[in-house]
Amino acid sequence: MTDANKEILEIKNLNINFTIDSGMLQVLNNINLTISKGEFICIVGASGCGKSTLLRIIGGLEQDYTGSCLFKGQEVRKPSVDRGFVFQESRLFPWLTVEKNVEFGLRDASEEKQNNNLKSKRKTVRQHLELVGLENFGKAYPNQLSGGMQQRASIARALVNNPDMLLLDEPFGALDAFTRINMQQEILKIWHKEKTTMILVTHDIDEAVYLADRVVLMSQRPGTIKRIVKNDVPRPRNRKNPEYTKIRNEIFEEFFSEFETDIEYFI
Amino acid sequence: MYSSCLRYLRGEMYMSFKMNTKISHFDKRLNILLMFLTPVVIVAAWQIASENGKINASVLPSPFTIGGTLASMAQSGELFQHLSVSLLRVIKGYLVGCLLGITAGTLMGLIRKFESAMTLVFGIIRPIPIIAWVPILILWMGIDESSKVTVIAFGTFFPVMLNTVYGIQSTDKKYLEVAYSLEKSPARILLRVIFPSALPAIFTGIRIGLGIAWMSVVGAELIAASSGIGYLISYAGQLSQPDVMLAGVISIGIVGLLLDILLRAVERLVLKWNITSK
Repeated sequence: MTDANKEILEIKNLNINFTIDSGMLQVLNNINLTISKGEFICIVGASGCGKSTLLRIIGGLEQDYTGSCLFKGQEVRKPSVDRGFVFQESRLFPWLTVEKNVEFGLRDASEEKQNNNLKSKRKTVRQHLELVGLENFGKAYPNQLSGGMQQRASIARALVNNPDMLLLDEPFGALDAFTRINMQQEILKIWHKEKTTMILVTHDIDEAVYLADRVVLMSQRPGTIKRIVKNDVPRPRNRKNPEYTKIRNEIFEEFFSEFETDIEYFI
Repeated sequence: MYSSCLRYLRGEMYMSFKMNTKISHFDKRLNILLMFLTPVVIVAAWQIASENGKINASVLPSPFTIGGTLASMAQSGELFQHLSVSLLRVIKGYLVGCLLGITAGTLMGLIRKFESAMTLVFGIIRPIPIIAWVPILILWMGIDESSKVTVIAFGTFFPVMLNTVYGIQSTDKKYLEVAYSLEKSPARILLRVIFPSALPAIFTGIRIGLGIAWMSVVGAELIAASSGIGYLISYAGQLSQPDVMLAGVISIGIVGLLLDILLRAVERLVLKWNITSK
């Protein structure tokens, strides 16, 4: 990555409040975060810490914030296909085949004439199905696929416009342990290939250490950034690597002060 | 006897609660056999009672007599001529009713203020039996086709409209968010997300609507018409021809059933995704 230091996202003094039962709830408090182009960022925190809200702000799905959130120097106030969003549930439309679901992700034809071409449209869809390993399932309906395959399709839908940034909101949270590890490798493959800047929200510390260049730790009520852990473990990463375990333990200790370390020392 | 009945019932209930129970080939055939068995038994009993003089033929002719009448009416073309007149009216009125119902339902489903504006008006008009409108519509539009078509459109409108409103309003917000995050235009969201997700509900409406349309045409023709299956029945009544009347009544039932089967086949085709998910 030649211009790895180029900032793509800049969040400054960001606050957001929700009104709940006529009371104000401070959800995010003074968030500052700068992300470089091509980086893989994981945001980790307990449920209710506002990590998903932060991601939704970056995605343009929440607008009532104060402070600034600049994407390529422009204030984020609405969604854009330049920032693909992957939700926890695949949210594929059950009435469309996998192929058509991915095609739905394409920019509206009226806005971009070059995509109007049916042939190039089909080719783009096909390429992205291949990218997520679903080239043989284009004609299937979502309910005929497993959970992991559905999530692959929804990643393809978010990637189909070649976005600069992919935002993933606990994308593997609903998958079983085996599928999850498989999908983590898959998303790294996509990241290497497409060089998309990735921001992934998770509550799985192991997942964050496996994937991220930097792990953003959040504490709750109100949601603040507790610490940002730089993760220099060389890739491809091995979960048994001592450096890997060290960083993981460090993050564990950050969240749970009375961390039971004895088991780890048996290795 | 009692306890064995109870045991059987328990078994049936267990089977119906158990998911994914594969119905055996034998069971499938048995079910089809049972479906036809009931009407056959009824008709046979009726025939026997008629032959034994238990039923007055001038009130209720025997099934054979009715069948004979039906066959001769079919042969002479009289039956199909009346049926096709009625069917044509139904098609016209039904299409208008569906179109208006889906349009109004969509607008009401999308625009809360429009729904509020229409709630009371539709709430009062809806419970009025369709037949009550026939004399009024004849006064307004004359005794020709348009009054009948209007009655049918009226009857079709309400179930279609209500189910469309329900379908549109129950679109999953999560799907809307996906479309929003992909910068889709409102028109595209309506056509590609809201409509498809409302389609199963809309189909329920148009199936109920078809039943009502078919009932309305016969009702309208019974009151005022010079052709159509309803007219055939009322005219036969004046001539006291019970076999013709019953032949007409039965053909209404058969056509109604065929129409529903047809629409269900269309539904299976259009909503393939919805059926595979069940």
